[in-house]
Amino acid sequence: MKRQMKRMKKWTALCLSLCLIGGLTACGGNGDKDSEGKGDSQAEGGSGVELVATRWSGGQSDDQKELVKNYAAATIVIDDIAYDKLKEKEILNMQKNGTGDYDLIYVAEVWCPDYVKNGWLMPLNDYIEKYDVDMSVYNQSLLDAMTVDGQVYSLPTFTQTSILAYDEEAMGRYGKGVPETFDELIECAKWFKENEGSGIAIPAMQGQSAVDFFGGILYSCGGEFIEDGKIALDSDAAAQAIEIWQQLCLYSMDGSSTWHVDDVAQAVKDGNAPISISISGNCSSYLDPEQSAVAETIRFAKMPGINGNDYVGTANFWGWSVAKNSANPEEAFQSIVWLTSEEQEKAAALANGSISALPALAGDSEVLEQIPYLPAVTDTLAKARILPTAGDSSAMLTDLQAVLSRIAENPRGVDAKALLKEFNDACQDYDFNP
Amino acid sequence: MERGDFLPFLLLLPVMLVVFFVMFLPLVYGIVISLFDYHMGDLDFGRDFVGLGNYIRMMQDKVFWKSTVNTLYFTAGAIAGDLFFGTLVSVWIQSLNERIRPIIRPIVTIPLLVSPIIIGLIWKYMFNINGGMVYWILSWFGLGAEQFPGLAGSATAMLCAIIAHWWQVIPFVVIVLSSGLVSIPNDYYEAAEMDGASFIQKFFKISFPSLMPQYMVILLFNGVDAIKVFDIIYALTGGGPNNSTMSLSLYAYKNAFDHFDMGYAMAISNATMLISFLVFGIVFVRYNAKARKEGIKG
Repeated sequence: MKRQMKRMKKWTALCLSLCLIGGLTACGGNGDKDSEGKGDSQAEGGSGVELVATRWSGGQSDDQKELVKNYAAATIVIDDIAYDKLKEKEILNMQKNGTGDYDLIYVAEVWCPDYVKNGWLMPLNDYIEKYDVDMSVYNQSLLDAMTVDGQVYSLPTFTQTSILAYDEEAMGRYGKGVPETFDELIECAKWFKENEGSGIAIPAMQGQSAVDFFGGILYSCGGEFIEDGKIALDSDAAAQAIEIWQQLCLYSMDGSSTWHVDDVAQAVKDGNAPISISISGNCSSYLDPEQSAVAETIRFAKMPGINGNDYVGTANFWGWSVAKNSANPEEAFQSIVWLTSEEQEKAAALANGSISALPALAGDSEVLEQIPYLPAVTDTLAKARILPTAGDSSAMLTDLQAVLSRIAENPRGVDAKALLKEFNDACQDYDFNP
Repeated sequence: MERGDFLPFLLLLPVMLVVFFVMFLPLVYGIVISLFDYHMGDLDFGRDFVGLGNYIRMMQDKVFWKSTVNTLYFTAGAIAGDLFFGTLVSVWIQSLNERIRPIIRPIVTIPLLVSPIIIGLIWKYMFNINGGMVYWILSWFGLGAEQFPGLAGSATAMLCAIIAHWWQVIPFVVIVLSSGLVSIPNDYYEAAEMDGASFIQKFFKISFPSLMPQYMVILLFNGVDAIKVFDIIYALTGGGPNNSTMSLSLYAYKNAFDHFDMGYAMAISNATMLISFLVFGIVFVRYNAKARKEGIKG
């Protein structure tokens, strides 16, 4: 009996050792991505190379999954991720040693400098030269924003900006024309607030979209966030901008202070918002009768001007980049050229109303018919700029979110100009040099 | 144990390896990283070492202190509600007919199956001033956004997050407390009834003391969970308005993934861990020691 027990112990010990060795070997594997069932869409490529692209999920992503099936040179797998988790997932993958999971990275213009600084993106100039890519098709100012030290890191694809979206019937009740200046916009919002209990829908939640919108107002007033490497929010223009923000918050719809751009879109589609500052990326859903109660009456206009000048909005745009740790950088580069080609961009625009960063498509009659808000976007984008990205800009803009939120929460009870001045003083130690 | 018999060690080895790699190593890594000015992807051990610099910066950071107060407020509110409402529901279920009880209990536990981020989104719609269920109910009493600004008000936004948390976590409390209530011998209640004890007296003299071990488990699990709160607040308010719902975990996340400031984010995370230990760890250790002592005496 004792002998039997001893034998059993030996066998158990042997089995455990084998399990342990097996387990450790499995942990040490390189996670060959060909064996992973990543994403839910694959294009059947001819070369046998599989490229994994990451981007935010949603309708546009679903359409893109279909479009990439037409790519013949490789198999493109779209691994779409919820927008709020995208950056985190991209970073965690790009900083992996050895080969990463992603070959193609969808990059927002504000993320690009940090990604480049950390060496996560592949510089594209050598490939551009090798494959003689015609760079004149891309919007030069957008391309510049994705260029660091003369090296292009991303090819612009999708762009969006704030535009006015309004219900034509509601504007009929208001009885005046579509606002062309911010004074008129505030007057219009006030009328709806006082007469119909609604107001203007704006994205005033503590977050990036509030800063984006405020940035547009600031630029339009002639102000800057940063001048000569120092914070510059103590200017008269900044004071005017924060006053406009305060007025808009005052006459905004109840709940606007908790709204992100998607919440604004929902208020418009529910028919609750007579007028709104909407992000163009959401506007195609306003026209869909299945999603929108105002599909027939929704109209779009460019953002109003300030001080007799046109609006200088902030442009959000996205580009396709190649991850530095991609196993197939050359094939990945060829695929991003294909993805940003006029033919593919047009197909995407017709499929879901996404606005391409290629200037040629702004005048395309088929695209114009499909996207009635395109002229408003084009007008607003004409002078659009991007938010500062150098040095501590990201930290400063995050802090600014709290200031804007504080004003939005109680627009009647705060001295907005004093708050901005206080914020400006608190940011003196930030370093905004690249 | 015979000499040279390594079986016990081999049996323990997998667990020890898991504990070492999954718990100990990341903990040490987190502490080490917090001593560096580490921006993700860019670490030079010689250049970036700042010692306690991140912790000193944290002590001077107003948003950190606001986040700490918010987190403690959330934890206190969450735990108080979890225990109070959880007890009420458990006792109510226990008092039901034996045929209805097995039907009600699984229904009550449904929110436990929903992910916190989804719960955040559900409650965001519930708290929507334009037609959300909460405001629809408030309107019956002539109340609206002016009286209760909900997610839009600094004073009320955290309360909304706490309510959403209650909805998710109370089912767990109900499961744990129900198991405790079932194990209390019925004789105690019968004897108390013969002595003319009221429902309240029976609860405070019999049920409540008997449920102490369960309350301790709930306090530890839910307390630590509440101090780490992230998902619900992230989905509901994103930390606003005016940082009034910024929790320590959310603040660490923002520093890590918005500013790539990993060293500082790690310092905040370590502070969260320390606070968690100070608030709940010590209480639990002392309770265990006391229970062990009483057990030995008994």
